[in-house]
Amino acid sequence: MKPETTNNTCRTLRKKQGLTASVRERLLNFSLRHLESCPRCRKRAALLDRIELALDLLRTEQRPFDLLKKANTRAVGTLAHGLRETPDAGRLREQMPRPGWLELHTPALDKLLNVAACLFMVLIIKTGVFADLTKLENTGRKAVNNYYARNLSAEGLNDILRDIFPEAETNDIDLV
Amino acid sequence: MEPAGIQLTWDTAFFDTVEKSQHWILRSMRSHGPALVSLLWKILGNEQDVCDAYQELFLKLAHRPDRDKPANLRAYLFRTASNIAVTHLRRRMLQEKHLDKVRHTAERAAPSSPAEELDARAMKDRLRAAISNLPDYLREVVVLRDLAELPYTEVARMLNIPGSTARVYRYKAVQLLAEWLK
Repeated sequence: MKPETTNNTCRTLRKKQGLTASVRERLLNFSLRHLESCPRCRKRAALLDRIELALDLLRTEQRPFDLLKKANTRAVGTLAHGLRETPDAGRLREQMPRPGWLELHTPALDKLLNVAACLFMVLIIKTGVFADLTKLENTGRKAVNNYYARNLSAEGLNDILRDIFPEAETNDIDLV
Repeated sequence: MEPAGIQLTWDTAFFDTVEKSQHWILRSMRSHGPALVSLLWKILGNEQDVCDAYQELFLKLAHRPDRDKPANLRAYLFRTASNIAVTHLRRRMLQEKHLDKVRHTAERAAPSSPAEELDARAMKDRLRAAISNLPDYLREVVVLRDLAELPYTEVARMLNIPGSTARVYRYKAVQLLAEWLK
């Protein structure tokens, strides 16, 4: 019987992925172990992290909203007269930055989240989570009742129960 | 006096000629403008400087010696914008240094205090200054990758270097910055 061909792209890819993941994990573990024991490398890693953080700060710095409009107006003003008077140039002078995906979809996302929250509430009511909570409360009440029944007299027990469960009729609770 | 109709015809013809030859500048401003302004803001962090650099960029583009559209317009715009911004930044730093000397303020020359270290603004300014002092080949990678937020493949294409080299340059640049900002 002919041996199975090794030119199977899927299998090769799977093997390579497994190998890469394994190497990556081992390398990460090795680095972490070394960092734990080497203060010099730890310091170096902290410095690199600090630069990454500072670069993040630069990336996320808020710019004035009309900056693009101002920059375009200035740049268009220096172009040839004929170019300056075109309708495109006029549009550029009024150009505003496009809002990002998140900003654009925030209202829709808010509505979606509200609907999801409502559905979740309906779901937990339907599955009986609240009924279970009531059962749990009753069980707890019984347990408290039993404890005091064993350790206190009947009069003292009723007083305490009235303090703990003012809304409940303590006489109705079964003493087990 | 010429009739209004004739004047209008002449104007339209003139605009048509201009539009045909250099209208691509306006188109490039419309399509790449937002990203370029964002990049310039991240490098310079000052409204006036951003407007100056942006104006200089398009002036340079309109007055190129061959007056023709560059083969890779996006790469040309981003690289030129980065170079112009760094030149502005260096000039500003020089001015500030000069002003400091004039003022004789000891606190500016002294190493930064812990309070200043915590100040994000001070950190950003120091980082900007350090980026402007990086060697050109490292600075271009950091600017395009981290400030223009372009993927490594595009950075490599723009700078005509392999993607792996771009990654190595970026790592070297971050190491140098960390060394300088100790």
